[in-house]
Amino acid sequence: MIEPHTDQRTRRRIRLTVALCVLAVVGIYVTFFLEQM
Amino acid sequence: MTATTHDTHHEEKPQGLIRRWVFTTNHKDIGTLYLCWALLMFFVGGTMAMVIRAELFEPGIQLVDPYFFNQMTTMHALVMIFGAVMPAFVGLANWMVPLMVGAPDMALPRMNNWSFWLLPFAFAILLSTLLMPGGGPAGGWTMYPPLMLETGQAFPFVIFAIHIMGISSIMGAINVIATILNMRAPGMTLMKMPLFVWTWLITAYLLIAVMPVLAGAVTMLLTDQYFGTSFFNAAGGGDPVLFQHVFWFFGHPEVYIMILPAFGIISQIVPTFARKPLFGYSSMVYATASIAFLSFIVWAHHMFTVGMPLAGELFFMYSTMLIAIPTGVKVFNWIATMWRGAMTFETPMLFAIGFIILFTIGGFSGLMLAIAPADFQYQDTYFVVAHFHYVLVTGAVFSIIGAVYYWLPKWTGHMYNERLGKTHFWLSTIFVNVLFFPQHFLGLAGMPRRIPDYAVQFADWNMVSSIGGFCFGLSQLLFLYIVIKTIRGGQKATDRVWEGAHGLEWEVPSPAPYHTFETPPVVK
Repeated sequence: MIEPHTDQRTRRRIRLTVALCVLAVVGIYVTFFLEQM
Repeated sequence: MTATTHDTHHEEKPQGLIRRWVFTTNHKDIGTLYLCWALLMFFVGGTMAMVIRAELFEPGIQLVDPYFFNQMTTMHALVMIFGAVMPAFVGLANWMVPLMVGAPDMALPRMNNWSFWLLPFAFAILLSTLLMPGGGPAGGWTMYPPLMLETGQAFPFVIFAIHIMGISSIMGAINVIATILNMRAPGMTLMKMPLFVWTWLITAYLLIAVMPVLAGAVTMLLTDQYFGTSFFNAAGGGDPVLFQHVFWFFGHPEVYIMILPAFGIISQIVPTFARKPLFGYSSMVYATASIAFLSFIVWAHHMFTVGMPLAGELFFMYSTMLIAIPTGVKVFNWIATMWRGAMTFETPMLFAIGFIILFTIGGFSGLMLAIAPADFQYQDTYFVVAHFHYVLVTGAVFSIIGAVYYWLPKWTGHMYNERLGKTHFWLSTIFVNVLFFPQHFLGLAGMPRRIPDYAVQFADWNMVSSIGGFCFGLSQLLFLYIVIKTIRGGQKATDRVWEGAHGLEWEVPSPAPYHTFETPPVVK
């Protein structure tokens, strides 16, 4: 496999992007689900 | 914009069927997998559509029992939306986004593999429900309770399959966002990105925002059925209409998830064959963002007849009408791009022009449906069926077919047969109109949707529509033949392929090497 992102700064930025996306997904799911409880 | 360097070394592909395709982390291989999967699902969903049209060929119950008919309408929608149109766009994104932004691959290649390989499992589960006691889901793809809760043993399997599809979509969207935001080549600023990349970035945000809402809605259905909750059960203090609100809060942005990448594709094809830069690039970006924003505040136009306060009806009516403005900007820009261009009409351009005209017809019938008092007449009739098939078939599907013809020479290194391509276009365009245009008349005359039998006054146009359906379905076999023939050989494609094509994807050889842009190109 070719590692598409080699420099440390890009890796950190990708991790941050993914973390924010996952936070958004979990946040929205929990909000919509629990808000109706 | 020009690319100064690209690497084409490191060509070795993994050997063996399993290592090459099951374990692949290469964005081009995964793109190919998605596109093949989407094509397979188009034919599976298309076969279900043929069952529907065969039953509706004449009044009376002819071929299938009504309960199976309802399973077909439900499964046709689920397969086409989640199995065909969405994976086709994800496949195009996988192939083209890294090439267009000058990245060596998607940002998260292993997750990319996982996103794809979840799909066959999800659809194996979903399709297997047709063989279960009580059959598959038959309450429509919108899964409204309490009807959906009448589903037999298939119910938890459907809910599980939808969750898996949602996880696959969310992972795909995260990958697209991470790639576009972090892996663009030096000099590729956001406002230099090709429109296809822009529309996919915005689509990915929509996916992140609404797939969890769908997951929440179907989880609540599951807990209502098995865990004693009463989210949607009026007897337990819940409200069935709540489901409709939550579902359409997902459902309307979902419609735009299926059309924004199509807008991006048309914005790539039209300038190429008009040999002019896209007219109003920045307004296209802002129009896309506006449509995405508006998609969150229009959901209740799907449920005008459910009983809402007048203020609500008015709000959702006017907010829906507002969507015509950014959409109009787009149509205007495509026409202005063609204006005084040195146009030629190769197959991708034919599909793009077909899209602009026919999608606009779907847009206009959408505007009619947005008018709340008129919608009271149109609700749940074939007029609605005609509307969304114009938007999704002559819109989304035509753009996908156009994109395949446009980029197929870059993928395979061979030109497709232009004469066959044009034949495919004309057959598709004629028969898709024979199929769906009469459904406007049927709907206005009062024929309800989702019924296996109908009053005799609807017989003639139903027969015409069914003939159109069979011919449209058969025409797509020609598409399959053209694609396979092009993969197997044909006239060698040049690197640029199309005289008027611009962008990084045309700077790499045809077929695109297995690894591209290992050294980032510099965009000026």
